Amino acid sequence: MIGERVRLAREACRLTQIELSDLAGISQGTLSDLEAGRIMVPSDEVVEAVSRTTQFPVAFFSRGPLPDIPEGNYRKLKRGKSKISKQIRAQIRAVVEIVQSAEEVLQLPSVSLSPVDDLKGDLEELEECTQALRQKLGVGGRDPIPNLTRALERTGTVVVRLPTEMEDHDGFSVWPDFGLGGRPIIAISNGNPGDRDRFNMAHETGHLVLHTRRDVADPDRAEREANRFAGALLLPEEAAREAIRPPITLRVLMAVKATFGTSIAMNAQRAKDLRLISDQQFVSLRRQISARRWTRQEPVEVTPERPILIAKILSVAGSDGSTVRMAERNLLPPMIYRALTA
Amino acid sequence: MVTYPDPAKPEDILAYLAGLIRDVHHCLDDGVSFADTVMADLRPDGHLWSALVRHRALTLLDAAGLSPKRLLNSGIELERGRFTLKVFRSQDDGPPAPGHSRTRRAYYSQYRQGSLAIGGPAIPVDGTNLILDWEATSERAILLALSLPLGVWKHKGQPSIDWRRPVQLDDTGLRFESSDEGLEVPPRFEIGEDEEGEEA
Repeated sequence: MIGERVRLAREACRLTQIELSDLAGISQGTLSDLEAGRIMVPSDEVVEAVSRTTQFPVAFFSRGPLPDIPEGNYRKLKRGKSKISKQIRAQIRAVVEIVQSAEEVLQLPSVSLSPVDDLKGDLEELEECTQALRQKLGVGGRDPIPNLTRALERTGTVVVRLPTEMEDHDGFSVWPDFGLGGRPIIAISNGNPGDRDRFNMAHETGHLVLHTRRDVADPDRAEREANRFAGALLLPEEAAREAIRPPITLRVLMAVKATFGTSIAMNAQRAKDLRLISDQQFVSLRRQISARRWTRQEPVEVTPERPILIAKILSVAGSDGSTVRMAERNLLPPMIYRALTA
Repeated sequence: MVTYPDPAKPEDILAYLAGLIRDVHHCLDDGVSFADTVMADLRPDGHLWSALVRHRALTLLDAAGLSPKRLLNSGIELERGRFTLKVFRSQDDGPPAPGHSRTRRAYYSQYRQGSLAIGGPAIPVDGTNLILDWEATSERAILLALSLPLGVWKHKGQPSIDWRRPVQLDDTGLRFESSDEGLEVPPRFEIGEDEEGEEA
């Protein structure tokens, strides 16, 4: 039981067993035995050393079993390292434990996201899926979504921000205890522009709706589905056809960004998906975006959204005191607590 | 009585024409994107590309109600108060030479446009004929500069201008503001009145 928590703390800090044993001043053998369950009751010194190194409070290691969570969906670049994926998953597992405890004292919004169990394999069908979701989100069939984070939180989805050092990873989603009262969680990395956050959240929502009950063997196919879902959710077809009229230039896509909070790059992709531009025109727009160095920073600011539900959940443990104190009460390292409440 | 900035004070003229120049910048920027997109399907042709930029910019200026004068080859000319602005693509990092066009030579020499071309008397305009020259960088930023021509010069020759000032423009002014909505998360068990502590 404690071994599972030590492993989580280590992975949440992106440390190998060797690194943790070096930093904590304990033998790697002891650490390995502890994580494998061969040592069930470690000494206080070992626990304190692990706590001091990982910044997880000592009390974290004395709790019961951790909640199980599925593997989840990662939004990352191909070069994204698996140890960072593990780190994100470990941090979210710690968050899931806090959310589950909060269910006992807070009336969290009831879960209303409905995963689909069948899709004919046609990407166009995703347009209909997003229309059904937009009705649930209460944002109408074609209007801009003024605050996607809040709309998702109202469906009972917990949206969190993770610390910034998540290189090459933009998002993660998981639905623990699906069908058993569990609630979906979406994690996005800190420090991205608002439009990228919105796309990442919409993309992860796509995974939750499309891939919780459906198995898609080809991971690239799953990513394409989630991307198309995100585009259709944020910029519905009818609205896109009205807003993106030829001749389609970057300035047209900028105006769409200012209206729908969607990136210029996404708008170009959306225009291509809906066959509003030819493949060559899409390539040309991408080249223009690249030539203007907008792949690093696009014009047209989209103000970032702030998750509230997780802040309310964390405040169950109290809201008075320093960050370090509040992190300790929530059994989290200060760095993770700070990111969650940023 | 309307007062206009002194043509000898470029900063005053830039301030006076700032809104118009910003509009021209946006339209040229869109024109560059338009031309790049159209040319994606065609073989490279610098003259066609320039013409497409001008054509698109002119269409947008017209749609924006700025009443550009329609000239040959999609040339762009705008008026604001007593000032006239001709928009040309830059040549050798400056305004282009006027060439052989009598109309353009008259304009560069600070005569009312067209007065020589139609054989009428030349009417001096006291430094209100301005040139806005533009270029697109490889990063597709639009570089603009405003200048006051004083006469004509030959291709590759020294421009005959009183002054030339680059124009700095990069803010699009566009923004998406996400709404600041609340979320009610009540406690699961409300504390009943009889459970609350009574005041002593």
